[in-house]
This record gives sequence, C-alpha cells and structure tokens, in this order.
Amino acid sequence: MIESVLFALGKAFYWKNFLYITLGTGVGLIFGALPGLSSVISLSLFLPLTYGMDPMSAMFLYAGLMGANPFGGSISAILINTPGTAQNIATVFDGYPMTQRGEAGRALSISATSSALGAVFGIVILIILLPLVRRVVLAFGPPEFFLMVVFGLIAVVVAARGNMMKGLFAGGLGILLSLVGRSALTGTIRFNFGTIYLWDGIPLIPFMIGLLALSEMINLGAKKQKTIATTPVDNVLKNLWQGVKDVFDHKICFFRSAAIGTIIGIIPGIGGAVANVLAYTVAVQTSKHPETFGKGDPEGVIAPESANNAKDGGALLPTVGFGIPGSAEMAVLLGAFILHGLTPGPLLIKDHMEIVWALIFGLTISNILASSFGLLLARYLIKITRINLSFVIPVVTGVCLVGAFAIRGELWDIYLAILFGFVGFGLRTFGFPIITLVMGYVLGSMAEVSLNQALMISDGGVKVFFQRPISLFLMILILVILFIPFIKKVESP
Amino acid sequence: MKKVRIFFHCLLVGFVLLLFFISFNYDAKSAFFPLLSAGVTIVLGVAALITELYPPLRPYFETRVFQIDLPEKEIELIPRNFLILTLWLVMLAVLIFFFGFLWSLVIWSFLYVIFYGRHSWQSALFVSFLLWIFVYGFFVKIMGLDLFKGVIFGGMT
Repeated sequence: MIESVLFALGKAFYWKNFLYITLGTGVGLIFGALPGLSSVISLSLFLPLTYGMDPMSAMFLYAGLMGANPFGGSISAILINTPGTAQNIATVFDGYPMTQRGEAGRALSISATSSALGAVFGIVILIILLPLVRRVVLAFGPPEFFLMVVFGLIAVVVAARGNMMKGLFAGGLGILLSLVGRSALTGTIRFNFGTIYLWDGIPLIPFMIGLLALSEMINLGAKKQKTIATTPVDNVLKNLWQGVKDVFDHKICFFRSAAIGTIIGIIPGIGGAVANVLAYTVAVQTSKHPETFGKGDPEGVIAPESANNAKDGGALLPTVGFGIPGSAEMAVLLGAFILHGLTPGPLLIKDHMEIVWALIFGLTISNILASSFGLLLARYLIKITRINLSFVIPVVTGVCLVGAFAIRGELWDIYLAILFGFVGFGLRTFGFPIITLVMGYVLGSMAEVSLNQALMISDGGVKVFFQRPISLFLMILILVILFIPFIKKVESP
Repeated sequence: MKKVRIFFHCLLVGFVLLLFFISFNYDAKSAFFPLLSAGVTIVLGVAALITELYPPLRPYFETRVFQIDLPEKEIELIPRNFLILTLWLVMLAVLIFFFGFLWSLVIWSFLYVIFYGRHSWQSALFVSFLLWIFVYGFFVKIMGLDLFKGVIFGGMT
C-alpha cells in the first residue's frame, strides 16, 4: 500500500505528469466555464488523445479534467448568472446577487476556497474508506463480480431520476452491445451482421465519443442555444481575502455541505447537480437567517461549491472499488481504464493501486491548481463564456470525428461515432439514462465471464450464489434496492 | 413528439429482439449469456413501453432518491433544426469520404458557421483555420497520425 502511495506521489510531481495535470486543469476550467460543455465531453474528447500515453500519465490528465470542471462552472454561475455545468445550478442563487452587489471577487474567492477544501475533504474520506473497500474486494470471486455488475446497474438506475424501467433497459442494451464480436469465452463471433468490421466488437472510442460528446453537440445544435448573458463584470479581483475568511467563518456550513457532497458522490449515478442543490437546500433550512439566501449570502456559495467538489472524492470510491460509476464522468473513466488495459472494478483495486492513488493525487493537485488559476484568470475566463456555441460545435464535432478515427485508422469508426451520436441524442431526448448504457457496455463482458465461471464452480447450478456470504449479501441488497422504491410508491401513491 | 418517442422506443426493443433471435444460431455456451441478457432486456423494454403508453403507471416506476427539484432550464428542441443538423452531419460524413479529414473539416466548419450559425465569413474563416491548426498540429504533427485523405486525393487509404 505504502509503496503504491509513494510511487504515485513521485509520479504526480514528475514534471511531465505535473504538466498533464496542469493541462487537464486548464481545459477543465474552460469546459466548465463554457455553458453547454461539460467534463463528460472533455473526458470523451481526451480518450483518444491519451491512447499512446502510459496509464498513469493518462489518469493524471483525466484527474486534471475532472477536478477543475466544477470550479470552472462556478465562474460563469457567479459572474454571468449562467451555471457553466449542471453541478453549479445552486451557485447562481447567491453567487450572482453578490456580483450585482459589486462583490464578484469575494464570491469567486469563496467558491475557489470551498471548492479546493471541499475536494480535499472528499478525498480524505476516500482515503479513509479505501482500505475497508480493499479488504472487501479482496474476498471477491466470480459470483461476487457478476452480482456486483448487476448491483451497480440497478443502483445507478434507482439513484438516478427518471423511469426505472428505461434505465434498466438501457443497461441491458449496453450489456448486449458489449457482446458484439468475438466471445471472450468461446471465440465465437456474435452479432457481427456479416461484417468483418464488428469481429472485434463495437470499438470503445467511437462508441464513447458518439454517445457522450457527439450526442451533446447534436443536442446543442438542434436546440440552437444562443450566446450566453453578457453582463459586464468589473473589479473581479476585489475582496479576495474576505472570501477566504468567509469560508473559515462558516465552518459548520462547509463541513456539512462537503459531507453531503461526499455521501452523494458515493451513491452511484446521482452526480454533482443533486449534491449542489441538496447542500444549498440544507444550508437554507438550517440557517438562522434563511431570508438572506437568494440575496447574496456567502453561505449560499459555500454550501453548493464545497458539495459539488467533495462529490468527486466520494464518486471515486464505487468507481475504483467496484466498477460502479459514481457519476457520468466516472462512467467515461471506466472506459478510459479499458482503453489503457486496466480492468475496471475490483481487479483494479487488487492489482493496480498505484492507478487509484494517481487519480487521488491528480484530483487533489488539480483542485488546488484550478482554484488558484481560476481566481487569477477569472477576468479572462469570463470572456470565454461569451463565445457563441455556433463556433464551438464545429470545432468539437471535428475533433470528435478525428478522435474516433485516430486509434485504429478505420474510416468506419467515424460513421459509427456519428450513428452513436444520434442514438445518444435519442436516448437523451426520450429519457433513457446514457450512464447505464455505458456502464452495461463497459462491464458486460466481465459479467459474462464471471457468470460463466461462477456456474462452472457449482457444476452449472446456482447454489454458489447462495453459499458465499458476500454473494448472498449482494443478492439481498439487489432485492432491497430494486423493490423498496416500488413498495414505497404503492404504500403512498 | 410522443409518436417519435414511442417509435424510438419500439426501435430499441426491436433491435434487442433481433439480437435475441440471432442468439439461437450460436452454440449453447456462446448463446447462454446473450439469450439471458436479451430476454431480461426485452421484458424491461416492454415494461418501459407500457409505462410510456399508460401514463398513470408511470409514477410507480419513477425513482428519485432525494426529493429535491432541480431548476432545469430546458430549451425546447426544434425538430426542424434537428433535421437540418442531421443533414449537416451527413454532409460532413460524405465530405470526409471524398476529400479526407483536413479539407472536409475546413470546408464544413466554414460553411456551418456561415449558414447554420449565421455569422460573418471572417468569423467562419477564423474557426475553420483554428480547427485545421489543431487537427493538423496535434493529430498529424504531434501524434504522427496518418489522417484519411479521401477517395479523391488518396484512394481508400
């Protein structure tokens, strides 16, 4: 354990990796500040670009992209009344009134301080819980691996908002798509529709790029979102110190919100938007002066910003421990693991702890860098938010398609990316959660192999699932999370 | 919009059904997991479809762990825009096939910014130049990628 910590720490400060974290942070800030773009898009775009890199350097880059995004989004939330990402919705409520009052610098400083400290809080909790998770994971065998995939899919669906059946259906569809091509068990080519192109399965990069990034570009283009607000922002760098002081003056609010963010991060599939809004709601409900919220109360910025940054540390726990993405970003990260030859889920924590530590250190450094850069460069970043999306869409679309082509040099990959762009757009528009589809796709083959091995252990029977305590516990857990929401609805329609 | 939603849903269920029936062609070991997952997925898909067709059933399957309302700023989807955008993407795919990446991206982004974005040709030129610089600089020069040149300039290589 200690060796992998020291190894990853040393690697994090090696100049090349530090540069990757810085690059990721810069891009993450820009993607965060620009409303309409999100860290999911930036992560998908960077998947092909990291292909030639060693896995650890790639993880540092991903950590940079993920860590900087929430703070980037708060810049536009505070300065132009438009949340840069969905994770900054509640930051607008008090952040923008502070700007109108001439306290933009103070609000940004509050956001920067609570973002950095919130992220550190989430990561500390992750570090505390990691040895426990590792102990559990080391006891996993094929039945547990299989049940973990099933549990993950159901947990993500139940936790996400929307129609449960659609979520589970999308997960099943993802699993089926992962079965296209040569079977890992028998070598039989399945579902290739007579084409050699699909012998190796649906390629990961075009699939992810199409489903996550290109579908969002279609979405933005079809909705024809106009330019963002253009409120003039002056004296951005005033009262910075006061903002730092504000966070330390509201310690209870900070710790409570960071704890909310971390817990929500740990629950698979919920994401930063809920963390942000829930922390804000709790801050209003527990405040002695709730009437000041919505009028520029510093606590109204501390609560959402500490929560949405603390969420990342929490979300890493189910992602690296069990292969269940804590958020949409983490679903892309699962894809990145596969791209770099790492098996997502328990095997990662068993065999590649240094990768987990790389993500932890990368996220910490990125959050600290993002808050410092963000404050210094806020006046310039705000100009980026005024870029019209009509300029962004062709650039991102172009890079998406070249990225889809880059790994295998296969022309059909770009057409597949476009196809999945439309599929993703349809899923998004008609309420099917893309995260479960991606999860099913990423974990589908593992589920097949594990189920097969489990059945072989018990000579084709299913008793192995009932004989092992962890497996039995997982089955009970699956039944509980699957039926409790339904029973609750029947009891109180 | 409801008709399109139902059509899309049926399309997905139909695709899973197709995979289910194709699975019968494989040997038992290769077919077991696809049959199992496709079977379960079909049941789920049909159940979801029923909830789409009978809205009173919907609340029973709606999940929300935290009872909070996210203030969503939904911008309405304009079907006409979607169709036009689809044509733009088809045009890009065709351009890439004939002219390869570098030329196509420049031409396409230039035309897109002028005609779909309704901006000046100077802005369009700037955007397409920026895209070219990035694609050429990063993918060709740094990554050493041999980009597809199109059937006109490079044949099928």
